[in-house]
Amino acid sequence: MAEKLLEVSGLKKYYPIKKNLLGKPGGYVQAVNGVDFSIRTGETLGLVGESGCGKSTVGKCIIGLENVTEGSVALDGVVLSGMPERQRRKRRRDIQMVFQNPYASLNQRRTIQQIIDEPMQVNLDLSRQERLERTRELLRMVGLREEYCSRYPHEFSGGQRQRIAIARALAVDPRLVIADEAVSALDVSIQSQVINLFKELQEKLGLTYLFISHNLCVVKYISDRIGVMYLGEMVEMAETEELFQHPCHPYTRSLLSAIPLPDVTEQEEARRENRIILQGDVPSPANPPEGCRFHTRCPLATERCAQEKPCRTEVAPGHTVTCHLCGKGGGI
Amino acid sequence: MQSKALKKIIRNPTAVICIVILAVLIVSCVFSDVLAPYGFDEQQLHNARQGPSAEHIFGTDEYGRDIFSRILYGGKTSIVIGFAAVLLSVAVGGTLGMLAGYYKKAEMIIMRLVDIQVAIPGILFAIVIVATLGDSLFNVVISVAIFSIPTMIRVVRSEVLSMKQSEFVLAARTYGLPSWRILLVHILPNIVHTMIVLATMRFASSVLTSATLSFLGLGVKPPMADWGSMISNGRMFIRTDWWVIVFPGLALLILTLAVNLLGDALRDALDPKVQ
Repeated sequence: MAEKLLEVSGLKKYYPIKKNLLGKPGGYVQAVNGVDFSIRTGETLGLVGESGCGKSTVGKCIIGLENVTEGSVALDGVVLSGMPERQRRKRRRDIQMVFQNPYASLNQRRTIQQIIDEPMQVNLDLSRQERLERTRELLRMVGLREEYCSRYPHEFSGGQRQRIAIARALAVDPRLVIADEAVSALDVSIQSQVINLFKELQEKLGLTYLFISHNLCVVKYISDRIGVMYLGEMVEMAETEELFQHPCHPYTRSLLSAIPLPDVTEQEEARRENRIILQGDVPSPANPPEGCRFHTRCPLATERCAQEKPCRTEVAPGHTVTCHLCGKGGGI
Repeated sequence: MQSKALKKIIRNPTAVICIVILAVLIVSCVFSDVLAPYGFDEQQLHNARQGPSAEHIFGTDEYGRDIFSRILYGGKTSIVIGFAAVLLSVAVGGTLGMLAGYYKKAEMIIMRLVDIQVAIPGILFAIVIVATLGDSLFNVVISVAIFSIPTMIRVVRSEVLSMKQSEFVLAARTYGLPSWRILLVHILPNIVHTMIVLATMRFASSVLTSATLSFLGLGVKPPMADWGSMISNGRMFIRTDWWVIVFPGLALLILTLAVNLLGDALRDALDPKVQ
């Protein structure tokens, strides 16, 4: 088993809601509430969950765009969270991010050359000529032509822009690349191209990914392991195969049953047989339910779920679940 | 991008007309020494308050000075004050606005100062400045600029606040670009069109403000001509000799209208969303 590259432990991110006259917040949005996981060098960890479950916030905390409320983020054993900005800046190149919207993540007024060059200029000790060559090499690597250097982002399609954004992220040789919904804004046909590009680059450069998405199929295709988040907590985490074969948490099961099948008749059948439809809405993260956070919508909830917070248990090697019903001997 | 904006301007007839009007106004005021048929302080008391005629196309004022010549001379002061005040407010307001938008701590201080400024009438500020520092052209420019600075700060700040959340700024932060470079390289070019548009609007109101100051006797001193003071003198004769007030008023109207309309056209031309 490869070494752990990233270690996230007890990560919490609370946003103050509204400050009263004395500057004290009236409450907190518990966007992320105690998440632990680690990523090994060279693997892809997928993070899934519905909108507002805190998966993007986890990404932002790891990369340092948000300050961590509690817990720690460590890369290679060095704790990054809470590090003074001056020191942190030197380590920024280790983690890079590909953003969701390729139309917003590239500055419209800069050329492709300038866009890809900037991270190198800040972080690498290269001459202008060397950087230019590297920019060209990166463009080739992401499947674009070298001549695009002098063009502006608005001359490209969404998929091409996302390739440029990937080139920018790779420019500084990052250890970890966070893809925050990196393909959700693209057309389906382009999505597969970009995902394949991610895979290719991983093989070629030995990259490590944290792949954040709400699309289970995408995550299944690219990830080695998958973490499922619900309302700021990690409810289940396992190897991709294991998770799809033996989902334990009721939330994971309902998510998996919601994946549409390409064949209509199969789809109908699957719907009738084992579609689990959740009732109600996601509770507000500002006022999360007591006990298990999922109990308000869980079809299997018992009284215990409403009172007692479940602990994380390992149901199989590398497969952890946070649910009262799936602990040792529980087995649903 | 820039040439595209230029094309949009050229295709817009209103903008072209405004540019022509402005050019004519500016050129004729700059060359007032050559173009004006009479001096700005050339008095012909026997010709006082004569209506428009072949000799004095806009008539004469109460001292027999040629109003057309005085409009040309006065235009120079008015336009210089307008431009200088706008440049000053863009420089000061733009900088402070960007700081306030990007840095939380600076925001606290700058925005409270703006609140103070907004709470006190600008005229009062202008009176204090001119009264304590003297009524040189520069001080008049400062007091006129003070009217525009808070607006500039607020608008720029809100633009920066929204830009700060955009993904390309977040991306720049993830690779450790220093914040001053983020401000200058990524944010400024994307808000500059808002600043230009606001500046053109404030240009018109700055000329009006300088007229107000002259009207109150705080701006340009006689016998120097200035549109504001000409209008203020003319109001005494509005019932009997309309031309004394109407022509400088018209000049002011045309200038402000042209600049405002040009500002609108610029906003459309620089906005990539407007085709």
